[in-house]
Amino acid sequence: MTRINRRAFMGGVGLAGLAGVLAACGESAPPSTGGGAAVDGGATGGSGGTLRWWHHFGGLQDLHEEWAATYGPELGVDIEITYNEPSKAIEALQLANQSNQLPDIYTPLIGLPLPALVEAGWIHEITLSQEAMSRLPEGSFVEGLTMLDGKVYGLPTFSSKQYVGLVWYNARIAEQVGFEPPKSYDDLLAALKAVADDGTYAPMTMALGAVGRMREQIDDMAQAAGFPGYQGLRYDTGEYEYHHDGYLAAIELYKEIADRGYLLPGTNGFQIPDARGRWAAGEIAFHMDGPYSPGAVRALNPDMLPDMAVAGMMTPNGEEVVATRGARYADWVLGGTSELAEQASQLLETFLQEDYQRALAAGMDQPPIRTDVVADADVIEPYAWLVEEFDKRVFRAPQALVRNVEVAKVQAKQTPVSPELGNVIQGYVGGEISDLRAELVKLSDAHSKALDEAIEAAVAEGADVSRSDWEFPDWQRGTDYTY
Amino acid sequence: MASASLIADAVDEPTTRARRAAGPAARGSRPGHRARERRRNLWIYAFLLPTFVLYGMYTLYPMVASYWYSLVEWNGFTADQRFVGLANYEKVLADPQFWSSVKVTMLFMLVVAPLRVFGAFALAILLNSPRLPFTGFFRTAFFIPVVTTTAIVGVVMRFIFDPASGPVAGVLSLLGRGPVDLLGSTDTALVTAGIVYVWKFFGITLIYWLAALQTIPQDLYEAARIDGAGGFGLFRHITLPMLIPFLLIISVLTIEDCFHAFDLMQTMTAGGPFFSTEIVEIYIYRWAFAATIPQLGFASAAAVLFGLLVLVLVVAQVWATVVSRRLRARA
Repeated sequence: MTRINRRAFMGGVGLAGLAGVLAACGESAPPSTGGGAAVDGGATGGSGGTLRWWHHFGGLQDLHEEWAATYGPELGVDIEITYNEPSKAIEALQLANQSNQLPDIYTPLIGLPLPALVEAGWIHEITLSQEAMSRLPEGSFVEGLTMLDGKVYGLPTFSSKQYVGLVWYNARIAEQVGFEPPKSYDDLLAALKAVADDGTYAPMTMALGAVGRMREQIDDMAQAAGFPGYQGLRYDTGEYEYHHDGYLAAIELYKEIADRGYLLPGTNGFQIPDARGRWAAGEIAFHMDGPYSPGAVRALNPDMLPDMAVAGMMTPNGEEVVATRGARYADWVLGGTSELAEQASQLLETFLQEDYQRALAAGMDQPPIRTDVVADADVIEPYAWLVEEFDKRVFRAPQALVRNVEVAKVQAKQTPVSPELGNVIQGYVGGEISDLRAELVKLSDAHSKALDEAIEAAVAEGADVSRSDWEFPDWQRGTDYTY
Repeated sequence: MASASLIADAVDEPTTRARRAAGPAARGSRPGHRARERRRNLWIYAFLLPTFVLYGMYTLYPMVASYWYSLVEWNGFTADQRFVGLANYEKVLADPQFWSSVKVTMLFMLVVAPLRVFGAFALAILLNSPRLPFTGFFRTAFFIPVVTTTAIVGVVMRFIFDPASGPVAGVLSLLGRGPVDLLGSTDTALVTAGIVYVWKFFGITLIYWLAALQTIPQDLYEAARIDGAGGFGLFRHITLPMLIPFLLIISVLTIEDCFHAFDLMQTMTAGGPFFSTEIVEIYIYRWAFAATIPQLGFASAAAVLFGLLVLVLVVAQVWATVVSRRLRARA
């Protein structure tokens, strides 16, 4: 028998290790291959390969697991589902793209417009039957947003008719303390005062540390307070005006709430899960969150669901909400490097079925694109009421990209502005910013400069765009814009 | 690893000198000696190869790549990289938020590095005392935070400092103080994060000092005791002078280490509130990964500039120490 001495043994181990390292380096895991084990969830469906499906909808995780279990075997593929928390989803996709491991289906949270994503190879055409497409409301597929040259590249499954600056409250606490659902800013402050005076519960929390979420809420509330545009950009003039009174009023409301001590201690640094998790425990009266709140709260504490109530979006004096949103961007896309494009298209087509849309509604995340299914779906009453409200109060906004698809070349070159609106809100509420209007003027100027520079760069590369593409002087508040 | 080898170098210096002095006589000149030495060296390089490969892939390559990226405009989403020369550097240098993050980083380093170096020194002296019982237990206790996952520590600390329900809030409320949001206030967030950082990494500096203390020959102490030296005299005239050379190495290592607090800070405060704990690493991360359209070129330029700044600081520190040592020698 040959004896192995220590040196030979160590040498062998070293070489084996080296071989392992080299083997690991040489193998680039190709997307969509057979036999992969599910990481976060999924279903085994056959030997046709592994279809990787990434999403960021916390409230829809169970639905997607069930959907994968149902349709994986039907399509003859294993479906591997990965849920990425929204704030991490962009980074995950960026790293996946750089390592050539994009999933077959994903939610495109990337900041690039659809045409730029198609050009960069991030997404693949989706093959949908005409019959499936006809199930969606008219105007759901829009050139530049979900289609390019008549081909579908993105699937909208959620309604564009929604806003996120919503005041949710605990109905049990409301009954005990005795406040009415607020409509105006003063109503809200009065209700918060009632809770604070009662002393049994914390009045309010929100994700003040999640600057992106703060920006979305204030964008919505500013519009409801009279700002004639969205995300700081006026529809009529195409100019940035973050320093509009609508923005000032909405941010001042948050400041007032904080200064009067109505926020749960620690709220200043809360991310979305922190604030929502604490509210879901049932000991806080109010919480600012989007329509997806019930789905997410159910995942955290199902017992809280019967106590959930929504007051809608506040307006300065309790006026009816008038909101304006553009056509829906793609909610789902097919990975540009997918080797299972056919199966992925087939799976995506099932999202247009009534049972998926109904299940989507039951998930109580964002409202489904077919809002007609909500009334019969298994949802809590406040959610159904909200979707009705959205249908009545949200109008179609003009979009520069829809009027001129060349605008995508500008959007792809637009550099982010920092500090952004969410930072300004956090800074003002926390007391680090004293002159809000001056800070908002700076913000408007910074956005304007970034847009001008992006236009200049795009024009230099041959794009046919100008600042006038962002001007819609014929836009009227409270009406659907047509081109 | 680098720190351990530096300390080992300092310890092994006399032995190495002795070997060098022995010269060719010690090497021998038997036939076949060179062949054996080559074979042995081959094995050495074979064992080192994985380290070289991994170091090259995960340290050298990203460093070189970041220099290239700093010269291009690239969002990381597309393959399109446009060469822009030094434009990214100009933008970074003109960004007040970059300078704010440099200031936060420097402030953080100035708070935590002295605490780590001198605090660990004092504790090492104590733990090195032969009269102290349970030294093994204490050494382990102080080192345990080092081996816990930093990101987990960050998350747990958020609960500990939670002003509504954390234990710190509980203690403060027992003392009659209202809720204090230590991580949510711009006045206290950096200091609080600094204290957690010192607690987390204190053990590393402690080990450096304990290793340094082991190098002092016991016969020096014995001789001094025979000459009538007391405890303070031993410390003042033997321990302290013998440890001075280590102070430089440990300070440089600790200061350099204090510039890397990304995982703890990101999980504990994510740079907030309102940028008050945004160290340069978080600034770079924000532009490289957290922006809606990432700016990898810009972020790389910030990384390169900060790397150079740290390098300059370390070189200046080494230079100052060498000069002061020479001046002392002349005096």
